[in-house]
Amino acid sequence: MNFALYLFLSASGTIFSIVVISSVIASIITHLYAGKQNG
Amino acid sequence: MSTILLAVLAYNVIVIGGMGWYLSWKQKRSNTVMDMALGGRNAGLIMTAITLAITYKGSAHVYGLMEMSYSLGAVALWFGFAHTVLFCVICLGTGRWIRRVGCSTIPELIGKLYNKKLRALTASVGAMVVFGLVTLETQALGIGISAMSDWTLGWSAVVGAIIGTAYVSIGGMKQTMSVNLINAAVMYTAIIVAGIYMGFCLPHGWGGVVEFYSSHNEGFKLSLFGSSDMLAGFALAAVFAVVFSQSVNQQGMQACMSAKDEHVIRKSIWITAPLNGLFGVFPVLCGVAAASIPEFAQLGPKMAGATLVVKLLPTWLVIMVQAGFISSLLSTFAMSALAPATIFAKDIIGSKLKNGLPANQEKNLIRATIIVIGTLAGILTFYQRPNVIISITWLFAWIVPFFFVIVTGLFWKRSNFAATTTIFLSWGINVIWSFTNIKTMLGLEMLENAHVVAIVALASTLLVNLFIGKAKPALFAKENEILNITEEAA
Repeated sequence: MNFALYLFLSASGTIFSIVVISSVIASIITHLYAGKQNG
Repeated sequence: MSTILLAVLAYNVIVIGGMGWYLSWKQKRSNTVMDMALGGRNAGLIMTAITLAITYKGSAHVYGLMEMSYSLGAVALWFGFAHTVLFCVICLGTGRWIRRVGCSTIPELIGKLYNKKLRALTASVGAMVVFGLVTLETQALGIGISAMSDWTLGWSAVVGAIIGTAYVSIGGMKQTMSVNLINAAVMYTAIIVAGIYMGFCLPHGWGGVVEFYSSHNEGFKLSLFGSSDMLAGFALAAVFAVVFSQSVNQQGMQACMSAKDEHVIRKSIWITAPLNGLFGVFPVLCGVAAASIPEFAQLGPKMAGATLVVKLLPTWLVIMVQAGFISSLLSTFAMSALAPATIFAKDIIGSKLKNGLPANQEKNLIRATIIVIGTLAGILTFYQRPNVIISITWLFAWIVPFFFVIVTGLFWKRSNFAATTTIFLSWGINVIWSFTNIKTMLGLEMLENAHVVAIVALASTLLVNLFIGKAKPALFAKENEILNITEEAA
């Protein structure tokens, strides 16, 4: 595969994974913190 | 003066001057005083997302990545991924919390959480750090201008400082955000076209570049994960330094404080993260390619990539790429110069007055401070031009403890003693790590300043707060949340 295309696709995949994983972690933390505050 | 430089300067004069003229015309019609620092706190999704992405994409992303990838290869892109993690922290956390509290500066928030002494202290160090960043942005502007002309790097940096100072002192935050929208469109079109075009204009195409590294037993430089040493030494260091310091630094937070509300900040992650992160691909391609072509490799890491862009691409494309690069650098220069000027006007001068400075006087003071900052940055960069990414990570280490102190004060407890101890211990270790031989004596050479400061700040925050008896409740503690935010933001 063309090196430029390889770099672009692997960078896109890494960035997308970081954002999705972070969003899930943030939702879990928010949920737990809200639960602790209400509890 | 070369045609390319002339065209790039003309583009910036038209876009920046045109936007400045339009905003001042609009302001005269509505008969209001311009809010230099926060642009009226009504920025929408696109403006906030693009400003965040471009604010954090300055010298390090443009010429720093070319310089770093020349030596390290594709693993340098982890500096960009570190910023993706950073945007997650800002858009899902710190940016929203700070917008919710309604502060204008980070020291103001620290003052609100703890006390006025800590506000003044963090304002002084915060302004010093951001001024350091301004000098690095000036250097990057110089590299860009020097690559397009026959001028020396020193004089090019002086010209860059003059243009950057004029840019931000004309219109402040609102203008910077509006110009960013136009520049983003030009810059991303340019680098996408240039990235594709490079495959056709490299002497032996991308195949030649791959062949070069393979034949020198450096195939790992073509992988995003490099070697294990590089991944631990560079990638992890970048994530540490960038996330803990930039997630509460004034330039980025100023963009969040200008947003209409915190929902805008939360949503902007889906635009900001790819926009900023993918930008790094182009400079890394330039650095990796330049190191494999003797004609450019002999120019050294600082100039090789920048010169490759100017020499290999056709003139029309070079003008577009350089106009985009210079605009991006000008935007970061603008935000970096605006940040210490805002801290000076609001935290050092304004905080001494009962009702702060009147709007008009504040605007004039911010403008005058920006001119002083720009002048000093131009003079310093003329004489001193350190490695951009190494200097940036060193500067970031100074603001790492702010992250721990702010998060603790918002969500756990507010102890003046714990906060002051954490800040002084962190700064102390940073100085010791910088100016003594301690890391060699302890066999901890792999730990950079940002690592050590983050470890010390975290340990100090946990230990002192655990053992401290008396402390105010956290600002976002349930029973205080509504009362504190409405009372203190008023």
